[in-house]
Amino acid sequence: MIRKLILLVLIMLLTSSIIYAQRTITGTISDISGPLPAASIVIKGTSTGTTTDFDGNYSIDVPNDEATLVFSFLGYTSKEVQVADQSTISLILEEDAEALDEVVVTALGFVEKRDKIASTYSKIEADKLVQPVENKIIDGIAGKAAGVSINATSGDPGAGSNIQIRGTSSLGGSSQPLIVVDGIPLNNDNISGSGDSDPSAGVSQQSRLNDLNPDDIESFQVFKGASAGALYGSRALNGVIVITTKKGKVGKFRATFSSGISIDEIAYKHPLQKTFGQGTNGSYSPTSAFSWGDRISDRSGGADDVDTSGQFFESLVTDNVIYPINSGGKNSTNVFTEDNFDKVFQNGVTYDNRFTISSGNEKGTFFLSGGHVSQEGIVKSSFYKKTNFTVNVSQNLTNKLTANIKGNYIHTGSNRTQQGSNTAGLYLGLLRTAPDFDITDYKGNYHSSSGAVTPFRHRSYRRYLGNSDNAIYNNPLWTINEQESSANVNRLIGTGELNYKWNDHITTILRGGVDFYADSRVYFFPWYTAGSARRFGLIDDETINNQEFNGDLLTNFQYELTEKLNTNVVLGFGLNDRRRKRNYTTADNFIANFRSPLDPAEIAPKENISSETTRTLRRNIRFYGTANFDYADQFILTVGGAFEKHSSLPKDNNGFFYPSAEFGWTFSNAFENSGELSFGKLRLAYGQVANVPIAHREQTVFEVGSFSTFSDGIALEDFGGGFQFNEALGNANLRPEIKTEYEIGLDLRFFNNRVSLSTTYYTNKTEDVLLTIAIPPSLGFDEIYGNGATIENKGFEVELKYNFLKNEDWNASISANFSTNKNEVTKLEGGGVINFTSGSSIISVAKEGEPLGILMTQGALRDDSGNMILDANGFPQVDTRGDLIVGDPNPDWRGGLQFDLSYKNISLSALFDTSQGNDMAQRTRFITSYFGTHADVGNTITLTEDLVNHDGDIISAGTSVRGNVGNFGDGNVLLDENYYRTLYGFGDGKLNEFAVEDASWTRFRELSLSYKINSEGFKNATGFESIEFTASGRNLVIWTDVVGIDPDINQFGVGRGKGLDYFSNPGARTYAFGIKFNY
Amino acid sequence: MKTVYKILLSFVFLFSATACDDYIDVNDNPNQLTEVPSGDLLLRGTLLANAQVQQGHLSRVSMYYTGGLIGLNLVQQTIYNYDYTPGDTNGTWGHIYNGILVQNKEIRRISPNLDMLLAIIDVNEALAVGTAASLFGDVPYSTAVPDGAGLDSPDPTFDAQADVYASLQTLLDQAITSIDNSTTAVGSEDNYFNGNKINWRAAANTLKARYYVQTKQYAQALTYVVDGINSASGTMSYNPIGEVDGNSNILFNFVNSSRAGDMTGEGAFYRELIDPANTNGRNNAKTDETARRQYTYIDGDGEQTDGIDDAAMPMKLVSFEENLLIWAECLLRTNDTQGAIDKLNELRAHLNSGNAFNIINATDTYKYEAYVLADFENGGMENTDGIAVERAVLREIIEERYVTGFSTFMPFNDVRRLKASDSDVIVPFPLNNSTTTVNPQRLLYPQDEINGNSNIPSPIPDLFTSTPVNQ
Repeated sequence: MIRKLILLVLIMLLTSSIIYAQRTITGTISDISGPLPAASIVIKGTSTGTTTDFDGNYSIDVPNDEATLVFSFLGYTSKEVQVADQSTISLILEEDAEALDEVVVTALGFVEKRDKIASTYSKIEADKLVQPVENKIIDGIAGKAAGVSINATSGDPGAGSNIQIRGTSSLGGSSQPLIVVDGIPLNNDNISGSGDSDPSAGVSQQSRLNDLNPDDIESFQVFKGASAGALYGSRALNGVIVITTKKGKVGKFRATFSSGISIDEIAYKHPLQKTFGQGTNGSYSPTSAFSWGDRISDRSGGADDVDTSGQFFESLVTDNVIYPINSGGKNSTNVFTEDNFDKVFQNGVTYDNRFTISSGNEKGTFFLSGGHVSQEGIVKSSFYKKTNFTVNVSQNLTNKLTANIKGNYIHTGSNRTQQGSNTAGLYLGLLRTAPDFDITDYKGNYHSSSGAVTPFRHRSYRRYLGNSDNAIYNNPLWTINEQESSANVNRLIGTGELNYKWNDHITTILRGGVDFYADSRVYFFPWYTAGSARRFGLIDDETINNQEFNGDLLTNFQYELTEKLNTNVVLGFGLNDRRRKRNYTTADNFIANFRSPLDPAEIAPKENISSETTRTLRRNIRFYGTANFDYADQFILTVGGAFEKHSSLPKDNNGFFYPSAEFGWTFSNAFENSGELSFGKLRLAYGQVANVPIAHREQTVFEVGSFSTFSDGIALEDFGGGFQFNEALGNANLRPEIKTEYEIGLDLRFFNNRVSLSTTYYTNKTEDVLLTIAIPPSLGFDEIYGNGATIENKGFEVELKYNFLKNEDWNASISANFSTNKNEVTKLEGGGVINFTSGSSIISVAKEGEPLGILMTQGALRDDSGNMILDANGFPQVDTRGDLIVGDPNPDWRGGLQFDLSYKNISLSALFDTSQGNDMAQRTRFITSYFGTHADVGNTITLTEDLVNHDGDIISAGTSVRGNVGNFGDGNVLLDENYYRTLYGFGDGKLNEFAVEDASWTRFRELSLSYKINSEGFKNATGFESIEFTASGRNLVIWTDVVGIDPDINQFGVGRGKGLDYFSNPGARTYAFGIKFNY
Repeated sequence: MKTVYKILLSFVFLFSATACDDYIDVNDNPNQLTEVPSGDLLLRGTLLANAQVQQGHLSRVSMYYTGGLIGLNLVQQTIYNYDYTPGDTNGTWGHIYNGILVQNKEIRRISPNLDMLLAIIDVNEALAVGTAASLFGDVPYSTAVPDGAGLDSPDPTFDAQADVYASLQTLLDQAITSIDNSTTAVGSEDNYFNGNKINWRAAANTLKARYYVQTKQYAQALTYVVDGINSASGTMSYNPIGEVDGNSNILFNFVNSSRAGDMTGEGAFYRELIDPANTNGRNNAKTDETARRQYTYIDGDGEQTDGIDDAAMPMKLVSFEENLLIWAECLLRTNDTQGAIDKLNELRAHLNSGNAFNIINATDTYKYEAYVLADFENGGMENTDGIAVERAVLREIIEERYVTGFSTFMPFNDVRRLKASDSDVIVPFPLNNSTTTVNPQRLLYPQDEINGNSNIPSPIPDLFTSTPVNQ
C-alpha cells in the first residue's frame, strides 16, 4: 500500500506538467497538530496530482465537478472528497492506526500485529537497546520495561548482569529468563564454576547473552506473563525474551560501518579518612590491621627513623629499600590514599568497530556482520575483548520453499579482578590499607637479619617488610599485577530454517539450531598471595563445554472461517538437548615460586593436585499448539498448550501439560466513534510455566567421600579410593515446579494514538518449588532435593507513552513505566531458612512468610515495641538470640522515564529510572569503619558537653577527640574507637544490623545525542546514504543515600542473594562517542 | 492438504511411544556411581567415618570436659567454657548414620555372602552406635536408616539407651560367630586390621566388655575380656597411610589447620597429673611418666614430630591396654583384689617395655614397676590418704584408664559412669570456669536431628543431664 502510494506520488510528480485546466481547487491539509507539508492530492482514477507546500496549502486543477480528490499522507488514513461545487477543500487527516501498528514476534517466531495479541510484553526498540558503542545488551534493557529489573553485578569489563522479570519465582536452578533468538533458545549461562565456587568472592563472570552483536538485533521483546511462555513449558518460568536478528533486505546493496570509543570512569568511591595513621588506641603501629593510630599531622615530618642494621626489603618495583621503623620513629606525614587509588584504577577505554553488509533480490537475501570490541576496564589490567561474525542467508528455492541459514561465531577473552570476601580481592586489601602506607613497593626480595634472601615476597600494609610468607591481605597491586583470572570463550551458534508454503493457508517450518561454547578459565595466584590456601600458590584450570541442540517442526494454518472469524492455528513438535562437560583441575602448594600459570600437574606435588569432571545431559520433547481466533476485529482468543516430556523427571511421570489462554477484547472497535479513544483493549490471560529439576538427581549416588568433624578432614581419595553413599538422597518422585499466573490488563490509546497506556495486574504462584530439604540424619541421609516450597508474586505494571509533538521536523515523546511486585515465600518445607549468601555475616535468605532475599543478621536488642534496650552508658546491645530480619532488598516499586526528541536529523534521548524502598547491607562501609579507614570515622570533634563512651569513660567538654557524637535514644554519647571496634566488625556479637540502610536510588541512566547527515548533496558528494554521529553517557548521576558504591552492585552476582556489598568491585560511569556510515 | 496431514501424522507417530521415551532416557548420573559392584568398596569409607566418630571433634570436646586439653580461642574456647551447641554434634552424628549405618545396610544388601566383611561391619557398627549411646543416651537405632528413605519416611524413633546396648551385645555376638564361621577374606580396604580375623574377634570381645562396663554389668564384662585383645598388635587403630591432610592422623589435621593455636595441652590438668615435678601427681617410686607425658603433649600450634599428633601416628580405638584395664577393674569388682593388681601389673609391664607409646627423645625416661598389695594398703605409695585397699586399687585403675585413654572418650565415659556410685575414685580434674558447678554428663543431640525429627526426646536434655545408664 505504502509502496503504491510512493509510486503514485512519483508518477504524479513526473506528470504534473500535464494539466487539465478547467477549475482550480485550493485548500489546506493538516493533522491535529498543524499543517501537513508534502501531503499528496491526486484526482481519483488519474495520475494527476500535486502536493502541499510547507504550510500545508495546495492548489489543483480538476476537470469537472464529478472529479474526486484523494488526499493522502504517509501514515495517515487517506480521504476521498468529491469536488462538487466546492472551490476550497481543507481537511484534517487522521493518523492511520494500521500503519502505526507495531509488529510483535511471538515466542514461536511468528510476526503478529501488536493489537492482535493479548500477552503482556515490552518491546524495546533495537536502536534504543544499545547505545552506539556499548556491548552489553542486557544492561540496555534496564529501566525500559515495566516489571523487568536488571542489576549489573560489577563494573568489571564484560561482567554479567541479573535479569529478573516479575520477581523471583524459584529457589534453585536458573533465575534468568529464557532467551529465544529467531525461534531458537539461546544459552544465557552465568556459571561461576568450580574454580570460582565461593559465590561471595572470586570474579564476576560473563552473561552469555552479551555475546550477541547488538548490530544483529532487529527486535527485542520481553514477554513477562506465563501465558506467552507456556509453549516453552519447563524453560519459561522466569519469562521469555524474544529476539529477532537482522536479515538482508531485498533491494540495493547496503553496508554500514560504525566505530566508537567509550570511556569508563569509576562511578563512586568509598570515602576514606586521611587524618589518622596505622595503629590502634591512637598509637602508630606499622603492622596493625587498623587505622586507629596517631594523628598524622602531629608527626615531626621528614624521613622515618629506621633500623638499617638487620632485616630489610628490597623492592622489585622501584629502587627503594625498606627498613624496619624504630619505635617512635614514624616521622613521615605523607598520606597515600589518593595515590594508592590512582595506582589501581584508571579510566577504562573501549574501542568498538562493527560492520554490516547486506543485499537481496527476489531470489534471496544476504547479511554479514562483524565486530570487534576491545575494552580496558577501570581496574588496571582488567580487560574484555570480543570478536564476532554473523552471516545470515536466505534463499527462495522455489515459489513455495524458502531456506534460511545463519551462523554466528563469537570469541571473547577477558581478565577480571578478584573481589568480595576474599583476602586476595582488590577492594578488601585497598580499602583496609592505612592512609599512611604507600602500596607502590608491593613485591621484592626480603633479606633477613641473618642474610637469607627470600625473592619475590609480597609486601602489604600489615607486612611492610615482607618478612612473612603470609601477607594477610593482598596489596592491591599484587591483586592486579600478579594474579590472573582469565576466561576465553569460543562460541558458535548456527541455525537453519526451511519454510514451505503449501498454499495460502498452510505453512510448515522446520527449524534447527546448535549453540556450542567452550569457556576456558584460569585462576592463578602465585606464592605469597594472601590466604592460607593460596600462600604457596594456587591454580584453578577449568574448561566448560556447553552444547545445545534444538529442533522444531511446526505448521501454521490460517483460515478465514467466516467473514468475521479468522483463525490461526499452530501445531508443533520440538526437541531440545543440552549437555555440558566441565573439566576442572586445581593445584596448590607449588614446588617453587612460579610466576605464571603452567600445567597444574607440572608445578605442584601430586598430592596437591585434584581434578573433577562433571557432565550433565538434559533432553526434552515438546508437542505444542496454539489456536488463535479473531472475531470481528474485536475479540481475540488464544488458547495454547505444550505437552512436554523431560529427561530430568522420573520415567513414569515425565510428561506435563502446560496450558495457556489469552483473551482480548478490543472494545474500541465496538463503537463507530469512540471519541478521543483511538484504541482500547481489555486483556485477560492465564498460563502455566515450569522449571524442571536439575539433571541426574533421581538416584542416590556414591561418592569418594571425605570425613570431617571440625577442620580435621580425612578423605577416601587419599586412602586409595573407595565409595560411600552421598549424604544427599536421590529423589525418584521429582516434579517440575509449576508457576500459575493470572493477569488482567488494559491497553488504551488516545488522541489518534498519540497517547498510549498499558496496564497489567498479575498474580502468580509457583508451587512444588524445588529445593534441598533437610531431613533427619537418622534416616541415613542429611538432605534430599525435592519439591517443597511455594512462592507468590503479585504486581502491577504500567507503561505510558505520550507522543506530544509530531510534525515533519519535530518529533518528541515521553515514555514512563512503573511496576510493583510483592513477593512472598508462603511455604518452605523443613522450616528454617535457605541461605543464598553463605559465609556472609548478613545473609539474604528465603524464609517462610517473608519476601525472597530478605536480609537477616544479628542486631540490636530491642523491647517489644521495637525500642533499643540500651546499656548503662546509653549504647545499644547485641541481641545474641539469633538472626533478626533487618531489611528487604526488594524494592517497593521501580520506574523509568524516557524522553525522546528529534528535530530533523538531530535526536536526543534521555532515560531515568528509579528503584524505591530497597534495602542494602553496606558491609564495606561497616567494616572499613571498624578498621578505621572509612571517612565516617576520621572526624575530630571538640566536645561541647561531657560525653560517655562505650567503655563507660567520661570525656569532658572541651576535649578534642576522634569520633562522632551519637544518640541511641538515651542522650548523646561518644562514638569513638572503642565503639567502632567493639560493636562493628565480623561475625556474631556485632551490630551488623547497622550496616543495613535504605538503598533507594534514582539514576540518570542514559543520555544520547545523535546527528545524521543524509542530504541529497551529501549523498551525491560522498556516495554514502548517511553518516550518523552519536554521543552518549550512561550512569551519569545516581541520587541515593548510599555512599561509596552503586546501590545496584551485588556481592553475590547473578543469583538470589541480593542487597549485599562487601568489597565488591565498583561500578562505572560511561561516556561514548560513535560514528556510523551507511552505504 | 492430505500430504500435510500425512507428514504430521507420521511425525507424531515417529516420536510418540517408544522412540520418545528412549530419547529422553538420559537421566542416569553420568558422573557418579549409583550402584557399586561389591560391598568391600564401601568398607574403607565406613571405617574412616568411624575414625572421625571416635577421634574427631567430639573426642577433643570430651578432653576439654575431663581436664585433658584446653580450648584457647574462637569456637574451641567457647566449647571449653561449656557453651556447647547442638550444631557441634552435626558432623559426628552424620558420620554415624550416613557414614556407617546406611553404608552397612547397603553392604549387607549387595554382598550377603561376604561373611567376613559382614562381621567387620557389624563390629564397626557396634563401635559407632555404642559411642553414640554413651554420649547421647537414647538414640535412633532400631528404626534408623529405613528402607526407601525419602521425604515421606516416618521420623526414626529413639531407642532407650539400655536397649541400644543390649542390641549391640547381640550384634557383637553375631559378629563373633560370623568371624568364627567365615569363609571369605577381607584385604587392605580394612584400615583397622587388614582383614585379620583373630584381631577382629578379639576386638569384638573387648568391645562387648567395654559396653558391659558402661552398663555397669562387670561380671558379664569379665567373661569377655578373656577372649579380648591380648597383645599390643591386637589393638584396633585408625591407621594413617601418609602425611597429607586427607590420610593422616586426625589430631595432626586439626592442629595444622587454620585452627592452629586454638587448642592446647599446655597447662591442662592431665599434663600436671603426670608431671614428675608435681609432687601431687601420679609419679612415684615405681612410676616415671616423663616419656608418656612428652608423647601425649599437644602444643596446639602445630604437630609434635613422633608424638600422639604426628601425621603418621596410629590412633587407638579399642586397645590391648583397655582390655587389661577392664579386666583389672572387673576382677576388683568381683572381689579379686590381687587378680586386679596382677592385671594392672601386666599393663605396667607392657608400658615398661617401651612399646606402648612412642619414645620421642632417647633421653625421655619412663618406669612402670609392678605394684604389690602393700602399695595400696594404708600408707602405701598408692594410698597415702588411708582409704580402703580395694578403693585404692580401683582408684589407680581408674587413673590409669584416664591416662591411657588420653584422646579417646574413655576419661569422659568414666567420669560419668562413676559419678553416681564411685565418685570417690573419680580423677579429680577441675571444672573449666567458676560459674559451672557440674561436669557435663552428655553431649547434646545434633541440631540437624532436632530440626527434623519429631521424636526427639522432650524436653531435650541439656549438657548436664545424665544419660539413663549413669543416673
